Amino acid sequence: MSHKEPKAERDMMLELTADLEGESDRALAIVAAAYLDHLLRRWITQELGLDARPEAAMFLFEGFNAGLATFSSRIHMAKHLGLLSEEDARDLTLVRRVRNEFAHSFTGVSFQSQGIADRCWELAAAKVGEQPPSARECYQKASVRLMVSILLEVQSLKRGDRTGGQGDSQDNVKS
Amino acid sequence: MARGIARTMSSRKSNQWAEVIRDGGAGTLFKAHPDDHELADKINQLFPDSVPVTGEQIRRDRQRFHNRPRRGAQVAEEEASPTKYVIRNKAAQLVVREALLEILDNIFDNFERNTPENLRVEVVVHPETEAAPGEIVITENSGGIEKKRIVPLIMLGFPERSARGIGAWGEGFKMAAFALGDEVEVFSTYPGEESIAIHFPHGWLDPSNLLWKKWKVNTYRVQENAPPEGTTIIRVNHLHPQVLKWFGLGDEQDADAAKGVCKELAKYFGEIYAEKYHSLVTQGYEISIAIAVGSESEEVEFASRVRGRLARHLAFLPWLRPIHWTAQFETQIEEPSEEHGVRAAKLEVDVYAGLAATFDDFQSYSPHPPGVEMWGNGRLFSLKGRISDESVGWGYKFGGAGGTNPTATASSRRLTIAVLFTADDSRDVPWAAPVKNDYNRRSEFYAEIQGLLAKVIRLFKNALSFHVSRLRPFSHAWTQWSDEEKLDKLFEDSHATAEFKQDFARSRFGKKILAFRPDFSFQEMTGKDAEFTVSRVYGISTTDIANTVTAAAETKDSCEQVVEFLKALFPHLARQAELEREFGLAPDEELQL
Repeated sequence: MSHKEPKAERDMMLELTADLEGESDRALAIVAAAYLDHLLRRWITQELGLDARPEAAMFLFEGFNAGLATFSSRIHMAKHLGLLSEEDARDLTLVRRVRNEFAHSFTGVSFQSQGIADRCWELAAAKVGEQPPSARECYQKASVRLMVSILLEVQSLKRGDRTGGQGDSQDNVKS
Repeated sequence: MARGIARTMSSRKSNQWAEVIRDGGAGTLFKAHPDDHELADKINQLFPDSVPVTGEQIRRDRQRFHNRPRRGAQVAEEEASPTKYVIRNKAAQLVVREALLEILDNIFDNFERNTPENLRVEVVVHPETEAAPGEIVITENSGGIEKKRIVPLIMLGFPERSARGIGAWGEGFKMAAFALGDEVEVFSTYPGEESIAIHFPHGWLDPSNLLWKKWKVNTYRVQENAPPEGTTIIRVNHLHPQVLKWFGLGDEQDADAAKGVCKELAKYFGEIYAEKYHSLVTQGYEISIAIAVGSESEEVEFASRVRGRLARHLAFLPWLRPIHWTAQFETQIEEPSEEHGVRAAKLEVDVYAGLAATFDDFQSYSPHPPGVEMWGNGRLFSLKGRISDESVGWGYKFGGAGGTNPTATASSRRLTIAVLFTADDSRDVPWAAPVKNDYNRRSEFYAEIQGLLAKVIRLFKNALSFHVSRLRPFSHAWTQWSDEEKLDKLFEDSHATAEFKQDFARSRFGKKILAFRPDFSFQEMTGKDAEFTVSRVYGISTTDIANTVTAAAETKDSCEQVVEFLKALFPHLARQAELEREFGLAPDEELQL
């Protein structure tokens, strides 16, 4: 997999979050979830020190039967590695389900659709401070909060300044 | 922007957060992180090599960049002033303080027109950063700007006046706004009307810009963050470099200077609008103004009313007590826009005058203490200093045997005169409109005002060099000082020993002087035509006053002379003390006269 410097990763996130503002409901749901999926992969890669072992990473994340090929499996893995709290894991699962609703319905789906809206209102990250007035804004707020938090973890692992990391990467050894 | 880039390049650390704001990526971060400190913390982690940001800065940035209203679809295109040079030239002459006052005048006026329950004005001055140029944002809830008043706001020569007003959303507003910056945006929500935005774009008043030839100004719907009902947000963007420098926010930002400006402005506003404030508060309204310059902020504390302030500083000599003179002037003046081509101009005048007994705590915005301070409809307008020329009666020659007034000198500072003008039509107030920073010597009422003030000066002219120490027992301060302080003040220029002062304090007469409490009532006078002279008003002659002043001057250096003078000044107390002694009363026993 491609290995981006934290700055590029950060800039990509900022660009993406800025673009989310004007996106359609479907694009917002899918793009935000895709990026969270990507960040989880980066995080697990860092945590397990797989940056230095591209074949192992390939085996885990890509290919037909790869164990961490799906968003769902990455959420579970991150949770079991102690990277994600119960609450964040639940929020990511809700984001994933909303993404699936959008991805698998061809027409007549929006953030106002009952099933989607219900999931968005459940997002704990959206309830920090004042809960936004619409399901779409709940989804966007929660996604961006999760993106920033995970990116910061990835950045700190990369710099090797996190003490609680469980991986055995060169970066963590440095810390 | 070029200057911003230059600064970025010269800085050791870049401000990446500012870049995020500039590039439009901050909105979602603000939305996702309602807590300012949490976001600051995350930003600092995201950009470890950037200039750190604080929660307070995030709060300000959120307010400035995220919560600000945004223009939506265009509603109309209004014909603006074709005489842009007029606004441009006048704006160039306005100083920052006066420009801000002009905007506040409009706000007060709008408030009195709409009369919501309270008025809160927040003036926030943002420095130039990599994210945005310097900007002033004024948020106020004076009731919103009604749609029908939008045209006067845009066009020149269409002021919209209100009864007893001080501002009009007209020429003065545009001058003031463009005196501060190059781009002006006004968002307003008037109750029952759709929110509206008016935009004078950057370059609209710049002859080198293509927009110079565009005389139209667009009005828009408000797409996002519309001001709450009754609220107006005025954004003056692209602040002029000299304006930023004045605020201490120039290229070399100076926190101390910004703090100083913030405090000074708060004091300034508190003095200029003191009368207006107290008048509104007594009607049950709540009024407050806050100013923030960069990271400094200050709440305006309003000064006391003129009458109360003068009562604290004037000498209430029984035979030369301060006056309160009320008069009304009326005249017909030509006004082509009126039905018959004329209108009745009316002006009410309240003059307070008297000899100052203490000079501390006077207005700091009158660099020349002698002279007349002037207020119009509750707003101080003698901003260039108190007026001490012949236009207010100094050096005035009365007809017949009326004599001549002196010209203003250092001694004139003892004579404090404040004039409060009130007019239903603000055009009748003799201020130098539209900026209202001086007395308009071309006022229709010039001759009447000059004559009235000349008579006021004549009342006190023989007492102008009255020894201040001798006036102190007639001051408000006298009631506040301890006996020791009173003795020190009384004998301060007479070489009196401590023993002498103690002997005086123990004497029957001394006790009465120390216990003396003056009557702080003004001599009430009415009528503009009355021939007010010293003998008619106070029942004494000008010679008596002159002799007393001479006698007071002779007390200098001699403590015995001071006591003798005091006995002459307080004959009834001296007589009472004498009788008590003659009747052999005990030292603490008093004769009831």
